Amino acid sequence: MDTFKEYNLDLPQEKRMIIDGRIEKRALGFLLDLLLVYIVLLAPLTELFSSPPQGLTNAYSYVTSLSPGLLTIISATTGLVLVLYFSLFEHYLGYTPGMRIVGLQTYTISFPQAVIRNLFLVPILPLSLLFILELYYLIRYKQRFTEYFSNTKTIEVLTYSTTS
Amino acid sequence: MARQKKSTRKSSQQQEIPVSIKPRRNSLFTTIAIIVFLLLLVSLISGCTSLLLPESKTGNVALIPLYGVISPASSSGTFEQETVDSGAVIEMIREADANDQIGVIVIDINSGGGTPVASAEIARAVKDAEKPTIAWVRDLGASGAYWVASASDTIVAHELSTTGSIGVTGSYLEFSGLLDDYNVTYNRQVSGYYKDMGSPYKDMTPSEERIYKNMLDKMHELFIEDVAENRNMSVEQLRDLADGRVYLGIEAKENGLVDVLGSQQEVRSIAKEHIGEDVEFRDYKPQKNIFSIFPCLSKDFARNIGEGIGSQLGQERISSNQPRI
Repeated sequence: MDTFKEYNLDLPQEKRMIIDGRIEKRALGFLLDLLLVYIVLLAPLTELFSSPPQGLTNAYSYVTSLSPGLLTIISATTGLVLVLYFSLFEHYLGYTPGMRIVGLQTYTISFPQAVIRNLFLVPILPLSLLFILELYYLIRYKQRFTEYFSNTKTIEVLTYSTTS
Repeated sequence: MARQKKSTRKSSQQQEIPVSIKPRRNSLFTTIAIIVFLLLLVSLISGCTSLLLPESKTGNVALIPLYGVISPASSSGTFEQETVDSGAVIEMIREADANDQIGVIVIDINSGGGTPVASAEIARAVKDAEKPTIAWVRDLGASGAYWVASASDTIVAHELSTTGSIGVTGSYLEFSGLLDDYNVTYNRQVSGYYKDMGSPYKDMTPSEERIYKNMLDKMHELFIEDVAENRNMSVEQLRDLADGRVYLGIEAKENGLVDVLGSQQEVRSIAKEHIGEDVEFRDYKPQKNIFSIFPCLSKDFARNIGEGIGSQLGQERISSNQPRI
């Protein structure tokens, strides 16, 4: 340790700059998260489908043929898992795996705030209608509607070096 | 005012958001914990949902499952073999027979048999049904399950289905030698000489063996007689086939134990011939109560995860422990 004290190192200082999360990054991070949720978390739900439709053309008729009870359970479970996934990660870590990959994060937020900002993911009316507002706010204000409502933001922390 | 509001929203620095950022850290443990928690949650929900959902009330062909070991009572515990309750199956057959919307009853079989009485009871219920019945043998329809199948009007099996096994077994493990090795004595206290016949802690005497063998032979004879009657075969003809061996579907067809080789397509065509209209299956399932949920929580958890993820990754679904090709 003493050896280093002999030198007066003029090392560059790391600085941070916070900017709003860019839309393309947010979209990519969101898609990555959805992919992870679909493959890993929602996979067990396939047990409920006795004979899943082959191809998208049959999907609509298949879904409408399901019993209302089953549809409600699948919708509610999907919504619950999505909201919990995003809320738990954002509350405990400040980012989801998808956000981490693209370099995004949130400010420190409480769990209720995290839940509110992700309510638009519940595929049950009227919450699913929030998706339209979310897009509008995101494009116009770079902040989703539920983010504005919950007083939270998705940000990028850019680091750069400078000499002092 | 609106413009002012818009301008105030443009910069994140001007917003009243608590500027506190969680430091980046090794988050592997938290990530795994959250994923595992959510996996548990989804598995529990999906594992038990199928039990709680009401049956579909449409369809003109009843599809009644006969999966697992046929017994007088069902069990679906974590470490127990899956069993099918004969009473529940009989109830479903009677309900389908009494239902005006149902034209044909299909027994969907994937079972290696079970207890003689339970198998015979289901076979009787199938035989008593007034509506046309079809036994659809999947991977396995042997022994007691074949007895049930034989009672139907038509048996459809795949070429590779395992069927037959017309015989009775009463084999059991005997520990008397092991007890001797450890100097443990079986203290026999009975009133009635044959009361502890079949006890695993002692050797069978020759007279006990005779009685036991006689009992199995009688069961076998009744089994043969009933199947022969169901299949319109002579007892002698069937006895040649009923040495307990299993037959592939293709062999069973050659020997007259199966009527049609095929699978769902063939079942549909036969059912269509009976009802004269397009076939829509109505799935029957045993009535479950709230207590049925608890065993399934642990039982279905791991299976659902493995099966679900496997199917998503394009692997074959795991549905049976039968040999697979």
